[in-house]
Amino acid sequence: MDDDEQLVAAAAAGDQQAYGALVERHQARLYNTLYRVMHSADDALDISQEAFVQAYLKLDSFRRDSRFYTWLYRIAMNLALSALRKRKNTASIEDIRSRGAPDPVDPLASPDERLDGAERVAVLERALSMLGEQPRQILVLRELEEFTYEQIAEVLDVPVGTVRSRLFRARAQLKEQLRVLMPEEADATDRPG
Amino acid sequence: MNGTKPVPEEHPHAELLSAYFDGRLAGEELAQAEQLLAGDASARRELASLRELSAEIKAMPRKAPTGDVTAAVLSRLQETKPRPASSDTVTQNVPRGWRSRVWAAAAIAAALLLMLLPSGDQGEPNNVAAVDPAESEWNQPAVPEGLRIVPISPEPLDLENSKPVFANPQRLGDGAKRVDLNLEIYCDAEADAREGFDRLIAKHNLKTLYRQSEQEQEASRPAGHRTAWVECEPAGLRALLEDFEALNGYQLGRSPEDILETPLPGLAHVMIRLVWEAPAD
Repeated sequence: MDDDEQLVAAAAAGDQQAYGALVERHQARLYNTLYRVMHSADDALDISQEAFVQAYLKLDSFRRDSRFYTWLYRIAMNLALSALRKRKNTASIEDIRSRGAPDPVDPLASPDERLDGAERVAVLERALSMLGEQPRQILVLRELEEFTYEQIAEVLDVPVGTVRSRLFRARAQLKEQLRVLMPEEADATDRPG
Repeated sequence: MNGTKPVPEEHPHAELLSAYFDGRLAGEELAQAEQLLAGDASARRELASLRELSAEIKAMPRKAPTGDVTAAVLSRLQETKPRPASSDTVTQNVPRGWRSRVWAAAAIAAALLLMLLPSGDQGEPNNVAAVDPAESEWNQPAVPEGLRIVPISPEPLDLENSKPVFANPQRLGDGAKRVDLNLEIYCDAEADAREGFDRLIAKHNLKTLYRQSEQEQEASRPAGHRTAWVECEPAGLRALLEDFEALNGYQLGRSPEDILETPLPGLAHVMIRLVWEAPAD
């Protein structure tokens, strides 16, 4: 029995401090994932909190054949998806500010003038934010969290084969967004050489 | 965004290579991928681009919560005990103050963020700037956090053949540098909002640098939003902000005090981003 299992067992028996230890252990990672999926610090914090509360309330239904954090992520991703769908029609100022407009990019710059690291990160964040919820989710789970296909399948409640095709499409869409935002860099990458 | 370059098509075996990159192939598929990579340079480039993309995503800085999630969760759990025996009751009894407040704020903000200009192009903006690739070298001075400087081209810009991509370089005619205040001004749907907007544009001699087309907008924002960038002189910034504050239907993305306390290191122009929401069709 690993540490998580022991804490889950104690929490299920009513030990809230044990559950607090679980929250402490996983909150930073979950928050970062949610931030990348939701592109809003407020929403990421809010959904993190809600996910932990819901997980606690559902502990009885947690099957011990999966890891706690995978199960927690499934709850969190469902909440995030639901919130994002609501947000589509109620764009907040903070949302608009965080998404921002395309940052300045000179598509005609020479290679020496291409984006530095910080700018590149900003453009990548921007490109991610322009993806749909599902491709963004799966990219974050795979690339940032380094979940296996099986874990992603469990979190998103889809067959493993679907993970492969969705991941492929998500990568293609992200590359396309980067081509839009940084046409010269993308061309350079695509160029035979 | 610009539509001037043909989008490179995906490699015909891109899905196979994506799965190969993830180490998910076996048997015939693995052999097929390895054969492909051995004999097809474009396949190797595709794999390299997957590696690069993955590395860049992994290198993104990790974000940490600003609040104490553990304390907040435990506080909420205190209010919900005893824990229900089944999952059916979930959060019905859970206080959702924070969550509710966030969504309430979002709803209020959304209500305020209504139309300023009708959808579609409003004609050529004044003094639209475009890109001149020849003029891009400049020395970036130290600037305060939150400011970003973009270079200016002293050369006339070829509007016919240049994409007016907001950025580098833009013509002001005086060789001055421009600083982006990261100030956004949001406009709502008051009946006189556009009139007031135009009045302030004229009064403060704001130049429109770039306005997103409908197509670009669709690719970058929630439906209906429009964005334009304007510039003004720092000396006129206080009066501009005061006027915007006094005008019904406008919100500033940063407080005027915050903006005005930001030192502008000898820069001649500031950029302001205007955001509004077009009416639904």
